[in-house]
Amino acid sequence: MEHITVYTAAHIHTMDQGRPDASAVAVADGRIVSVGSVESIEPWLRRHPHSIDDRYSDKILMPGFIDPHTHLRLSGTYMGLEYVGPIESAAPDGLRKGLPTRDAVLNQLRALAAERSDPEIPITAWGYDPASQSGHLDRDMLDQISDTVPIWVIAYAPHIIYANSPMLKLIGVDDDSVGHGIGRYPDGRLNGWFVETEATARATRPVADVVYGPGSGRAAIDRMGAVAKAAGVTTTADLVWGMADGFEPEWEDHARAMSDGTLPLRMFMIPFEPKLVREFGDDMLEFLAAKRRQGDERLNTHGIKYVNDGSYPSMTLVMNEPGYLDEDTAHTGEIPWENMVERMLPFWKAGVQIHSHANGDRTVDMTLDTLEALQRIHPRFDHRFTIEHYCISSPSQAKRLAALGGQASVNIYFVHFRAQLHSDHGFGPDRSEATARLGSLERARVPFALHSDFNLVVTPLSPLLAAWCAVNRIGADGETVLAPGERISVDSALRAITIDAAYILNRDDRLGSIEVGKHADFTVLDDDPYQVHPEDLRDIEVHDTVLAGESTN
Amino acid sequence: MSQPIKARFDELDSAWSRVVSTLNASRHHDQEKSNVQTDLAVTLLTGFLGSGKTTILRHALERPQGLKIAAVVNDVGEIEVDAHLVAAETPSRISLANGCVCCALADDLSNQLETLARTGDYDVVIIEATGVADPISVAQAIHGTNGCHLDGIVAVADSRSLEEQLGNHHTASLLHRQLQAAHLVVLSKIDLVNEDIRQTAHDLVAKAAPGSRILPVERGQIDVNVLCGASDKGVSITNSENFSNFDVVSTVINPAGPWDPIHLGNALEQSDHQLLRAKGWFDDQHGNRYHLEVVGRRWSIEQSSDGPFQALVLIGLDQIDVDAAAAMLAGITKS
Repeated sequence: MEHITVYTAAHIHTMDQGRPDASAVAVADGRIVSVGSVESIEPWLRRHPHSIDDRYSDKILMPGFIDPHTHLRLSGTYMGLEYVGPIESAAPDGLRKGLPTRDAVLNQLRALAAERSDPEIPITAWGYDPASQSGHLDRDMLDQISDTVPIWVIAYAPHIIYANSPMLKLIGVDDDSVGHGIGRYPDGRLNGWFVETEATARATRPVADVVYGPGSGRAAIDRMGAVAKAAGVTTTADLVWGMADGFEPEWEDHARAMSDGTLPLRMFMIPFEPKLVREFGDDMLEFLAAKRRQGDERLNTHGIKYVNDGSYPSMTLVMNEPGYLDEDTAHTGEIPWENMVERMLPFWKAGVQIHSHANGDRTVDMTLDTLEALQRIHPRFDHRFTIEHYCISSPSQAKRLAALGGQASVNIYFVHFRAQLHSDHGFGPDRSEATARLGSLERARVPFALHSDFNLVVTPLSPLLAAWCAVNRIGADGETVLAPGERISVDSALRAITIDAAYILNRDDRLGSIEVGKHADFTVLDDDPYQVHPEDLRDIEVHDTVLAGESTN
Repeated sequence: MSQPIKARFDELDSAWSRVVSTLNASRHHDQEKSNVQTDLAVTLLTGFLGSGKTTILRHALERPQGLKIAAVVNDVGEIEVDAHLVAAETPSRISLANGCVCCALADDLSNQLETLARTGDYDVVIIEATGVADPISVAQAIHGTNGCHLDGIVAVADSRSLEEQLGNHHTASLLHRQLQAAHLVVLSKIDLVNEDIRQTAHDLVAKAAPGSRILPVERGQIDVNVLCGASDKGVSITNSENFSNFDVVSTVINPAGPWDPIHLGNALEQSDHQLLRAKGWFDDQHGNRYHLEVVGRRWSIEQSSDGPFQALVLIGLDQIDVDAAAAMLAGITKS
């Protein structure tokens, strides 16, 4: 042990229930050597060179937060587009302020144009609302902002795109172009409008090239690495590895981001099963084993992912009777449900942990039936079969999940952001109110974690906000408590973003609490989540994160 | 140009999903360099549950007027075509003796359309979007599919319940989006309402989506040539009396042109002509032949060297509309 660094703090919540509180943690070679007080760790300090680091002495230390289900690399689109809408929006990187007027939008675009170093890359923005932001944009207006940097703004509703002259050139239209929806001034000059689907599709092609072009995956990882870090996350997992651009390119992007220092996280790549089967066939288990050997403690592969119904906000999940309020818009995944046991069996037998997406209660039933069948064919202990999302469920399903030894990784954000809307829209009042039944899971003793699914759904990525949702269950109206019996304690919620989230990823032996021998990953907070009022949990500022003993600031 | 409705918080993520679908469709289009040679015309039928989409589809499948229609629907069981016409039936597919087929909407619409295009068995596709689907997202998926083009978006509005749906804030914004996205609006079930309600419904559509071409329809009886665009198949330009059964009128312009295609495009873009459809070929001043297709507000002009003749058929609700459009076209200069 060459050198021990001792971090002191106002309070350390270790999330080790046997030794919950501490004030100092000793770190060497990226691992925790000892946790307690400066006095209690003295036997180590006497034997090794050491230094005391007081930079966090007035802060609160917790184990690094874990969001066990994200899609950072896929998030390129969202982050590549600037929001210029009129109302406050819950963007993944936090709340974005609305811009009240057209002038405010033009100022925002002007600022973006001023800082754009490469004039070849268009400024892309979305959310403009001519009805509430005082009228349409047009080509001449945007040319005044820049006549060299292409500007592309897509409106909120209906579909209109506004472009300036350089953008028109990029799209490949001029005054001689013939096409429906390509707008003109009274004198016949193009006015920079593209109206309706045919014209907007045309105007979008060069932008899609930019957004999805080479390097976009890496750029998304870098941007999202920063967002996750700012939210206090030190470990996450990509739940559709391979789906977008293939297994090797996606792995390579993450590996490079880590070696370049732009992704201050540990990352688990969870392969998307249909893609893995298509690409590797009989060699799929071999491939995963080889990748595990290639991987390390920062970047590795883990488990296998299935998707078996739609999403909560798009109202495409599969529900039991009486089903949807109006039309049934549910859809199932790519693999027919009747083939599910057969498809999961090779991974189940090989000991690969299964992560199975189920949003609706009917899909949860199917998933439980599948798990039961797997147990009959090939009984296993400690398999950590995980139902992902678990949005609409019943208390009896929680008990059955417990009986079968399964666990749940839950998207809790919808309780606040969406549930009240769906009371009269899709799911009906009962299922909407009882979205994400954490209380039932806890009473049934099912291990669970909280996740964001960021950014396949429009919710922020913030473990403290997730904990706030879980503890308070306050609806979008800011006051109604939804299904109060499904609330959980502050301690349970904080476990669900630390040690229990590590358990979900089968890494609780190495991550998720501040214990001797574990990785020295910490989240540094300005306030103590055990001391603030529970309704203020989401307002606690994240000061820093520590990854393998080093500050990421 | 219609005025958009104001942004609302609970609408933001559906707006976002439309942006993403637009980007994804572009990406799909760029990535997939397929060898599909056909160019299947796809009509998107949108409208709420119970608005009458299924009745319109059933009517089209039972009276396809020689067109081979592939209908893609949410629930094949609900379509209930005349049993005498059914040649083969599975839970997800009904084949009709007249060459039409009705199949269940798959999870991957682009894939499904490409497969239909590849068979070469069909002239047109009609997609019945689920009631809550955003037509713009589905239209973008069609634009991103090889071997297909979007012919038009047809919204079906129930004249009996339109007022109530527009008054309910849960349904109003989606209904606005459906009406505003549509190139033709079908006002259904007019046989079930009195003249006052019919007029109210008409005014509501015109207010929600200014400039709409509105087609009142009884019992789903809409002429398949108004509903779909089989560019050069199934429609006989000279035999336009076919339309007389369905309360629409048509006229043929022969010869069509010569017109400068840019002038024609500008005229169509700026005109508030009330044509439901127009299709055919015209020449420019240099003798180049072009194909013209009009679906309500939407139009397309493409060079078409193998266009068989130089004539257009105009279809409208009444003679006044058709004559006015013919006069508008006659005023277009040739250079």
